[in-house]
Amino acid sequence: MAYSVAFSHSLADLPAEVRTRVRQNLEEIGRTIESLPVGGVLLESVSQSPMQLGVGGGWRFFFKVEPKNRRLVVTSAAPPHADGAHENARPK
Amino acid sequence: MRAGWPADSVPRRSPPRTRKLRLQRPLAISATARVRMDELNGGTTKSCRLLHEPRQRRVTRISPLEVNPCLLSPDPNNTSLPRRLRISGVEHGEQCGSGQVQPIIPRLRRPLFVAPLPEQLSAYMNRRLPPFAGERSPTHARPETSSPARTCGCGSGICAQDDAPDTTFAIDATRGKLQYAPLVFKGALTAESAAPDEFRAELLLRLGELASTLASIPAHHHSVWSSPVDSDLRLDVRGWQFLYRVDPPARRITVHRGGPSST
Repeated sequence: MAYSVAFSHSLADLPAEVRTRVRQNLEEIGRTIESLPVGGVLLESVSQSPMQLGVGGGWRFFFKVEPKNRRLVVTSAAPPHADGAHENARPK
Repeated sequence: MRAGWPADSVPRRSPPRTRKLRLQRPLAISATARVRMDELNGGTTKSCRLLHEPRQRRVTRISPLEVNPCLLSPDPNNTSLPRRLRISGVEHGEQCGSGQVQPIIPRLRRPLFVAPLPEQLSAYMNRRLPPFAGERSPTHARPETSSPARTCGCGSGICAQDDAPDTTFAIDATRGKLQYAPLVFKGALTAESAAPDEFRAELLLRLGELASTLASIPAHHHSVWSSPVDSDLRLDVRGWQFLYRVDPPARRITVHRGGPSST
């Protein structure tokens, strides 16, 4: 079963174009993660780490990998040229 | 009979439909073809009946009937006739039209394949091959400028170089099946990632597994590679947590921080 992509509720007002681009990139990442060996070091490491993804236009997204639920969850985002928002959006 | 034709060419029956055609065509091979055949025979005979026989579809035998002895013997193993012929490996001699019977000299066929002995097979499988001269490292990989890797004693095929500014590990190229494997990812441990030896050895093991897994990800998956480049990935080793980054263009994994998980 492929990995699904989920967005946090705080990202409801994300521009549709950006959301589509993020979803496409994360789906590609999900396909690669799906091919990683279960119980391997890389999958374990990726699932423990807060991941970042830069999308064209300066957007930066933070997501986490949940192998048990087989999904990638976008937790927060930083719009371009918004350092203050970037700091607020960082996951803790 | 027309001059130049073989003396033993005898008119033969043809099927009714092709009778006219056969009567109009001589039952002999052309002069050019005959010359070539003579050359193939060493040029000692002008006309060899055996060579003409396939064209004439008629065998003229001038010697007593000779039968391969292997066909006369009883067959205890119920071996089929083609197999017996193959086993005997004897070919018939040739008879020429000059009236002389050439002795039949058995010629043993060279076998197509001889199964090797077990010890020969074992020696072949365990042979030492020289390094492949045409093997190239990836174009985006950094050239190997450091000293050869030393073993760390962990038995993992991965070793550490303590004399380098960044402690690097590399797959030991002199061991076992990894001897000719291309080195695709290197690891680097910075000073901030210092850890006790027992954690360090296991960390190197895990970095080796990470390197092999990362090497299996296709390079054209840009989205996949951009994410770990921007992220600080965590790696837990028995209560110690290390942070590392992946640098795909340099094919490098850098562990830049390490410490107990509680901090």
